Amino acid sequence: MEIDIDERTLRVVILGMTGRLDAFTAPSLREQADEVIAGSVRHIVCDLANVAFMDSAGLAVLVSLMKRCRQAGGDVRLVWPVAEAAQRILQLTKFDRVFERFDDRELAVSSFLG
Amino acid sequence: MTVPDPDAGLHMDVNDRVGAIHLDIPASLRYLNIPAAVLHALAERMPDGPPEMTVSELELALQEACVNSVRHALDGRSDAKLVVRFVYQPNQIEIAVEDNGSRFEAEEVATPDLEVPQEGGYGLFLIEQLVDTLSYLREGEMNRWLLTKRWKA
Repeated sequence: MEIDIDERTLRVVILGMTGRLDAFTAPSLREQADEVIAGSVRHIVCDLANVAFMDSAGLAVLVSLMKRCRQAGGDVRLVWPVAEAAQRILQLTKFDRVFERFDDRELAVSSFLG
Repeated sequence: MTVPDPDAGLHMDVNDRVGAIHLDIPASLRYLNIPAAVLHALAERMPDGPPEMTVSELELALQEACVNSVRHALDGRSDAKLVVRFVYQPNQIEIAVEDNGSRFEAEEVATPDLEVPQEGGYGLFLIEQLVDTLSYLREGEMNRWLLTKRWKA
């Protein structure tokens, strides 16, 4: 009999946001994202569930993060915002097709393991 | 019905159905939540106000117009002026975003390719998608963007 144990651990970081993700607050998210990426994390969940509003500056941070993760073989998954004001920009720019979207953090994290 | 003169501040007709609000705000990204807050307060109280989705769309268009003014037109100049005027009447809100920055040059703005995700260049595209009419005027030293949104009674 041969027993082969192959244990793998996937590191996923969740970036949760609350309130307005706009041109004023986006630089803070970018700083946090830079720190996460610098820590060799390639799989990130951005939890937008509690984001009340998002503009194109907020979107730009998500796109930058996604590009860097994908280049490194990872990805960014989104927990979809509840607020229409945050959903609208993702729909108009067709980023709802670019990002994989989920209803909660657990589903988003699990998607990396599947 | 008399459409008010927004230069003279807040006006109301006897039925509160027509009026104007004039905001003179610091030309800083930090304070762009102020026009948004005024829009929400206005929409909440005006008779037969706009549905939630209309407010959301107008808020995003207003934000993008203000960010464009602060970032591109004013670009940190010390004498920067940013003025936002709301004129409301039944089933319509008109918003003017004015700044004393450099002139807008339409040929310098490319329409984004929605099939290729990019980090910038969506501002004007979004405004055009979100409002019913959009116009730009250069009046003396001022840029004037006029955004109009209507809804059904």
